[in-house]
Amino acid sequence: MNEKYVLICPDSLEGILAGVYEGWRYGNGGAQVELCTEPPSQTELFAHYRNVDPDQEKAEKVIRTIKRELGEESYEQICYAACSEDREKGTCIYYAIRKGLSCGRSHPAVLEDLKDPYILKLSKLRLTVWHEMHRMLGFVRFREIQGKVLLAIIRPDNAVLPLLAPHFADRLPREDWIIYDEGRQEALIHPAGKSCTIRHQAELDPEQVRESGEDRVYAALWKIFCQSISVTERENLRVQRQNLPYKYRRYMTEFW
Amino acid sequence: MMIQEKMTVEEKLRILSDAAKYDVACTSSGHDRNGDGKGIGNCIAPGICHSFSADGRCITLLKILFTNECVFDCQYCVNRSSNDVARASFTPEEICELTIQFYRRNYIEGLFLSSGILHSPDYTMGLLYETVYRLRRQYDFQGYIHLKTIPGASAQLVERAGYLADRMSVNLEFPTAEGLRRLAPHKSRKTILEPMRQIQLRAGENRQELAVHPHGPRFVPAGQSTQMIVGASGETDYEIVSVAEALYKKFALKRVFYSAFVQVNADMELPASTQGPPFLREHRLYQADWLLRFYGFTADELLSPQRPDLNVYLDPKCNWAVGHLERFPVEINRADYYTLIRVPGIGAKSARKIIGARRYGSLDFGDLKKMGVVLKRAVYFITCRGRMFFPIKMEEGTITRSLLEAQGSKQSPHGQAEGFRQLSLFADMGVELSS
Repeated sequence: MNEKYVLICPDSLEGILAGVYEGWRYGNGGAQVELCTEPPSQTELFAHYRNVDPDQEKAEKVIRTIKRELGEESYEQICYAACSEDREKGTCIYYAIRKGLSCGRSHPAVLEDLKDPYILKLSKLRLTVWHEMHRMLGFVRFREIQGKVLLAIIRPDNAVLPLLAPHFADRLPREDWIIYDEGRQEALIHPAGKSCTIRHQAELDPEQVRESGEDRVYAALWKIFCQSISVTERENLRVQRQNLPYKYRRYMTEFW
Repeated sequence: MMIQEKMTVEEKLRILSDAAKYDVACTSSGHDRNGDGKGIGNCIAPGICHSFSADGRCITLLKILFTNECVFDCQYCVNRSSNDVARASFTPEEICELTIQFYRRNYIEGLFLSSGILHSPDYTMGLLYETVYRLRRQYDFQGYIHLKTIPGASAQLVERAGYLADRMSVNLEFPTAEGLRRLAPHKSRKTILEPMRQIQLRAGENRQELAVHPHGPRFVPAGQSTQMIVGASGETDYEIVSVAEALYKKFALKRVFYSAFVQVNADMELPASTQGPPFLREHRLYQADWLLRFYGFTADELLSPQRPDLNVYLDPKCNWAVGHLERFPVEINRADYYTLIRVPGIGAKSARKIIGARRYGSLDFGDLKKMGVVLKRAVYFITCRGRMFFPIKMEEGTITRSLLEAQGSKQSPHGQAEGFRQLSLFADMGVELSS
């Protein structure tokens, strides 16, 4: 039986790619490799467990290789998949890269080989994350709190916060804004005219997040608009629910 | 009619968004523009939906009328001059403030501004121009603006507005000139098609200018759209689809929208609403529209003067496929992209996936299923490695029946006689009852 190595790496793109780097030599020896982004709840008897430290340098090396051999598009696909909440994402990325590199540079589109179970899973992960990210671009609702700061609270399934950053930084460059991921307790912070940063283990002070008086006026106007724009003869709550699931509505002004 | 001197923004918003809701166009697509870092806003080419209203349609733009006062008396319109409804008008300042405040809270993707005709077309167009001018220049708004062209407004005003808007549209309303004359006596084909042509030509010139000066001003970069009302003037689907095709080809339109006629005024010229708005027909028209734009179909392939209406039981692509069985089944591992997308159930995404994956080995039905290609309709029209999914008689009636069963339709398109039926000893076996 093949040996099995389980690598426990930090839950980030860099962490996973450093894990890919570490896992490569085990894979070369023919061993089975698994990448976990959280400590396993139950350990297997015949597997070797290794902790992977976040290592920017190793991650960079892997990124360079991916870009050179598999192309920018494949790299982007891996970035999206790394933000997924799926537990097997690390293993998927590892085997997809292995498969890609085994084909060599003559196949830059190797991640289209959907007959490979890992590549298929990778493309599904990418789609799920991309889809949720795209939804969040529209569903994020800012409220104005003290000091004209805009604050949005979201609770996405996948860790889409870093993917939202470029869009909103480009859209609202001269505003102070914060997008807070309630589930992961992470905050994306954008001071006016500067670039975004992500703060981990951030907590919101309930006193400071209260909306300003002017904000309530616009929230009320927005609710009026959402009601009056609907054509009564065409009412179709099923389609509305399909497009805008209940789980997102808790955080959206028009459904408060 | 009650005349109020001071109306709050709240009341105005209620009236003027309610009056704008019958306009279907609500997309923010067609143009990519990054912010310049100084103002507010950007544009994303695929568009972003910000919310969904109770009718299931997306809310993307702040869709409002500038005013619902109107000197025109179009029979189908809720704002026609002879209707007694509450009237209101925004000021340019109010619209700018609303747009910016909604936009920075990420409620909306931009502004959709239309209007009733106040005093004259030119006067109204001037007001719309003033509003978007302020929004662009004073507020430095770089988000999406969809502006309606007022039929009959002067060419000069339309041209100037075109440099500020991302998309412009003028509604065709009815596919036939006769319907328009009857139901919208103040509008004419000429006042609708003229600005459409003008914008098309100017946008063409603008593209050439931009090739020389890439940072020059852009004229209606997201293109034009229009809208047709379905089921108010007795036109056939063939007429509607042909007109849409002509608009795409000859006027380079980006989108044609179809709006099932919802009765808001009782008028002897209009059809009586006994069956409710024709939503299924509208849905089929959109499907046909997609086939025209993305699947390489022509109007004459889908419909003909002899068969002028779309099949309500089968979607247009299925309907076309069962009528052209000589082209099927197609082999998944060999057929080119344009053949694949003509298979019912296989769209652009699935076709691209298939073409990408089959480079690495031949595909069978299990692979297709795993990749997420929907086989419900496709199984009747494809082979994998030369085999069909199960033996199927390539015959129009059989496949039509199977398709209908698969979609769980209760009714048969040809009435009872064509479906499966219980054998009858007396009728089928020729047994006569003797008394």
